[in-house]
Amino acid sequence: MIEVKALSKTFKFDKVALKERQKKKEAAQDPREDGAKFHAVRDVSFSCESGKVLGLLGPNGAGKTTTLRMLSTALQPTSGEILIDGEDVVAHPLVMRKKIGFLSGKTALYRRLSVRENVEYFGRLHGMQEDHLQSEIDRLFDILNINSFEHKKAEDLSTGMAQRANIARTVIHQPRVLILDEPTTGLDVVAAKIIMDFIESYRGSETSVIFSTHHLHEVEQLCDRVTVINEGIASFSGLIDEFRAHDESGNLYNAFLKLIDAA
Amino acid sequence: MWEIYKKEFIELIRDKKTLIFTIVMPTIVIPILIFGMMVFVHNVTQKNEKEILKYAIFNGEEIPAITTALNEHKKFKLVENIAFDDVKKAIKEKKIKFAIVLPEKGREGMDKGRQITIKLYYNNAAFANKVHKRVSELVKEISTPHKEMLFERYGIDSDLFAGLDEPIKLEKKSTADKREELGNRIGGLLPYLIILMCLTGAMYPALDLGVGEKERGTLETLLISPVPRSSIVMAKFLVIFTTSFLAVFLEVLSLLTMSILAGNVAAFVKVQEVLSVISMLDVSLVILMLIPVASIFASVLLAISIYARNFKEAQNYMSPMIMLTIVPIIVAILPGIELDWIMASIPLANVSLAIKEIVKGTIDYTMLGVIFASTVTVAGILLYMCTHWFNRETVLFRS
Repeated sequence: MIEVKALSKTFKFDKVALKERQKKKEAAQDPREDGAKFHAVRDVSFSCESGKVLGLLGPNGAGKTTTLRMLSTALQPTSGEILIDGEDVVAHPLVMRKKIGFLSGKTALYRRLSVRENVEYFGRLHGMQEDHLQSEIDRLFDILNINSFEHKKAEDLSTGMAQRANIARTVIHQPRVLILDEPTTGLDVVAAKIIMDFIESYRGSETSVIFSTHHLHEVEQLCDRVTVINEGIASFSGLIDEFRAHDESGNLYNAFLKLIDAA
Repeated sequence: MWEIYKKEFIELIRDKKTLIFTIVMPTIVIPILIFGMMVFVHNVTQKNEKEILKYAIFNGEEIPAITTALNEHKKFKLVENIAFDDVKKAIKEKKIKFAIVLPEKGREGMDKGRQITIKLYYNNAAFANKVHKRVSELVKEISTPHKEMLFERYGIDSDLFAGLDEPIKLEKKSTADKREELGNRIGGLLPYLIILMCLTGAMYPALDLGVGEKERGTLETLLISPVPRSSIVMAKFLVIFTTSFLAVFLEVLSLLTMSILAGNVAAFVKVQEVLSVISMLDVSLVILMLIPVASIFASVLLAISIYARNFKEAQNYMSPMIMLTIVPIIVAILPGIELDWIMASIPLANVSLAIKEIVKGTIDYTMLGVIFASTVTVAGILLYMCTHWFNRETVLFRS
């Protein structure tokens, strides 16, 4: 189980960026800006139990990726808590990374290594025993239909193949929390289906899945819970049915638009 | 850490650019360039010595001995019908190599035992010019017997004349042995070659392992693995250090092999003479001095590479590094610069001078120890700063 409590992240603009923003007068338009500071995520709280799937929604630039990057330990929160099975992620990032699998547009594979070499490498970095690692790779490659291109170099893969390989890299160490940032973006229908089915396979397991998406049909299909982030603030966090209830007709698109005040 | 080191190394050697900069450049391109340049210079010098020099002579009748000597010499060829006013143009157009102007009443002056002046016009700016040397030798062949004839005519004792002409003569007696003398010439070039190769060998891998990873999106994948940042930095640093050191090692090995294979090629005789007196201990000391140098380059270049937003920005930051490296090396090989305690405190210049002294065989081992220790300290501080850099979000996720 993962619990996120009052999570905030503030960035400082460097002098050049600050001058540019002042020129463009962006500061006046964005409530998150405070002089030389930018409050990207403000007081966000949500939780996701093991075996459940949480969908993180929000418009572009809302703070979803920053939130997920904090959950993955790539970024350190300015304040707030992240707990996995009750253990503090921020206080013990090295230990907790073994429990986290993170995939985003910025977590790519090594181009000059084959798919298998990539997954082996990250398995070893997670301290997996060689026998266990190899059998886990074989199992994942079967599920994700990777066997046919496992010896191809990552630079020679199509977008769909690369994303499947990247998912294998993300889950090779059997994380307790799986964090996926827009995992189906840019994929064709077949590749997206494989990934959706794969996420669904975690339902009822010991793993909590958090994924961000702009596709509400994916939320409909997969999510038990939903958190909506807008301008760095969680405007909604609850069960999928509670989310749906924000629109009289139960339409997820309308509910989402109402929650971000864009309707 | 070693898992990361192994992976980074495998990835690097699968990259053609790295192979070119780390293996092909030091083992093939640079030695061939140096070998080619030495052979070229040697051949040009030989050619200039053997070349038949075309010349024009004015007032030739004044000193027939010189006119005849030039005419009869197989390596000089007279070109007639060149007016004195056209000499400069004729030399420029390569119709002649030089013009010689004998003084009016030259024979009369010589007969009376007076000193006469012959003017030699030639292009002094031309590369490896031997005109002055060759004409001087010919003039000396006439001047010396004439001087002896005058001594005899006027009953002058040659020893007495020498005493009158130069009462006190200073005779040079070099205490430098052959190694020191040759090492002084070649030892200056060696640090330039190997320290720059150290930098070149580190540059591309540093770009690839820092900003290259940022651009390809693999850095974040690595940062979320359960490996301490210090181990990531150390692994990347060691890979860059290895390639830098490997590049120099291969370059030195290739140069040595080429020198040996060159056999009796005249251009390499002096290099072989120096090599024959350099011991394995000296070679080991040179290699030892390069360890902290490669460490300095590896940490600075990795820090720059991590800081940069993109490949282009990193290259812009790295370009001044070449200048910053060349200046202390050049200062160190300037004539008159010796290894003293002040020079020993200037990074890179100290190593450059130390390598020169090692090749010359005149190194002060106490000073060598101090240089090694101080360079290791500088490298350590830079590595620490690089690790500190690597822990800063504002650097890692700078956009």
